[in-house]
Amino acid sequence: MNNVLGTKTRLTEYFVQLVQEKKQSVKQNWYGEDWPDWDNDWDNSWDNSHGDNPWEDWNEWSDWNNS
Amino acid sequence: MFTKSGSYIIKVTGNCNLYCPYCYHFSGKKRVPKSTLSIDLLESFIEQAVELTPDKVWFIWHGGEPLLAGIDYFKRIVAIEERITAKRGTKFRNSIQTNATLVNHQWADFFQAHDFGVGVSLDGTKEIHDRNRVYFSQKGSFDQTIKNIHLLQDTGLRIGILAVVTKSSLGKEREILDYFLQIPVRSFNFLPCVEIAENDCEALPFSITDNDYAEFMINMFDLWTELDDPSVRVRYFNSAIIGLLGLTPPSCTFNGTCGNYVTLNNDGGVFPCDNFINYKELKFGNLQESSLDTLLKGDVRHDFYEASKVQRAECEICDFQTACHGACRKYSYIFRKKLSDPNFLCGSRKVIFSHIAGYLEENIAGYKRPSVPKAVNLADIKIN
Repeated sequence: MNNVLGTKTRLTEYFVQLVQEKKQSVKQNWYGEDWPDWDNDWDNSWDNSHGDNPWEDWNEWSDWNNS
Repeated sequence: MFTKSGSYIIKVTGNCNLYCPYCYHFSGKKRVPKSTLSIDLLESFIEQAVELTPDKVWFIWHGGEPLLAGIDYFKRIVAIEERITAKRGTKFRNSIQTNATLVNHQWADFFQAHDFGVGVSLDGTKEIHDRNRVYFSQKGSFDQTIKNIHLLQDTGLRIGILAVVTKSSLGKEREILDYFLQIPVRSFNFLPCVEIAENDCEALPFSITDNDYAEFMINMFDLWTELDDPSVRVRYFNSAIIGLLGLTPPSCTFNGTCGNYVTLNNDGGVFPCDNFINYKELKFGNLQESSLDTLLKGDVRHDFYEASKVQRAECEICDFQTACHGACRKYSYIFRKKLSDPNFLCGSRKVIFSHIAGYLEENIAGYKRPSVPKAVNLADIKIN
C-alpha cells in the first residue's frame, strides 16, 4: 500500500523525503545551476574516493570567480 | 573561471605495505625511500589552504598507505590544525583512507578522539579480498584488516568501506553484501577496477569491463533494495537515486564537478584530483616552487577545469544526463588523455540508471524517469 508520499518502500520514502527536504535548501551555484545544500551531510564523510564533500558551499566560495 | 577548493586530498606517502597488483600506484617498484611528505611543507600547505577558505578546510589523508607516516606525524598535523583553530576559528574535518592493516589501539583511539572519518579498503570476503590485497610476500591482508576494523569499531567509530570490484567479485554480490552487513558495516561503495598499461590504450587484464560492472551493480542494487533499509548506504545508489529524483547529488562523480579535490602529492606536486596523479601534464606545479594560490590560478588548472566542464556529445542525447553528468572524468581521460573522449563507464551507467529508474517507477506513484533534456539533431553529433 502506498504511504502519503506515494511511495511503496521504505527506501523510496526515505529518498523522496530527502529530496523534498534538500530542495528547500537549493541555492544557485556559480554556474547559475540549482545546487542543494549538502553542507551537513556528515554521513558521507567516511567515503574518501573523491566523492561527497559535506562542505560544498558554492555561494560562499563564488567570490573567487572574479579574482 | 576559478574556484577555491576547501577540500584537499593529501598523499602523505607514496609507499604502501601492501602490493596490490591493481593499484593505480603499482608500477612493479619496491618501496621508495624518504617518500613521506615533509611536515614543514605540509604545514605551509595547511596554512595556505586556510588563507583561501578561513572558515573550514577538509583534508582527506591518502597514500600509499597513510598510516606508514606514523602516528606522531598525524599528531603533529592535528596540533597544527588546533593551533590554527585557536587563532582563527577555522573548522577542520579529517578523513583517512587506509587498508587498516597497521591500525592498533593507539591509532583507533587517535581517530576516535579527533573525529576522523575512516574509510577502509576491503574488497569483500577473505577469498575475494586476498586475491589482490596482498603483502609483498603475497600473503593476503584480509585477517589483519578485519581484526583492525573491529578494533576501530570498538572505540565507537563508524567506518565505511570502499570495495574495488574485480573479476573475483563478479557473481559474488550476495556474499559481499552479506559479509559487509555481518561485520557490521552499513556504509560502503563499489569502485570498478579499471586500469590501463602505461603508454597503452588497452585495459590491463585484471580490469573489468563496463558490462561486468553494470551486471555487478544491478545485482547489488536488487539485493540492496530487498533489504529496504535506508540506513544501509551504498553511495553509488544513493547518488543515482537523488539524481534521478531531480536533485543534484553531492558526489562529484554524479554532479559534473571535477577538480574540486585538489591533491597534494608527497613530493609537493599539486594535481586536480588524486585520480589524475599519474598524469604529469595535469600537474598544476609544485608547492616547493609556487604558492597554492598561484597554482590554483594557473593555466593548467584553468584549462583542466574548462575542459572538464564541456559536455560530451553522447551526453547531449542521453536520457540520464541530468542525473549522471558524465561520470568521473578519469574514465574519459585514461585511454587517450582527452577529457572529451567517451567515458569508459558510460555504457554501464546507462544500464544501471535505467534499472534504478525502473525501480523508482515501480515504487513511487507518478514518477517519470528523466528524458533527453533538449532536442538534438543526431546528424550533428560527432564522437571524437
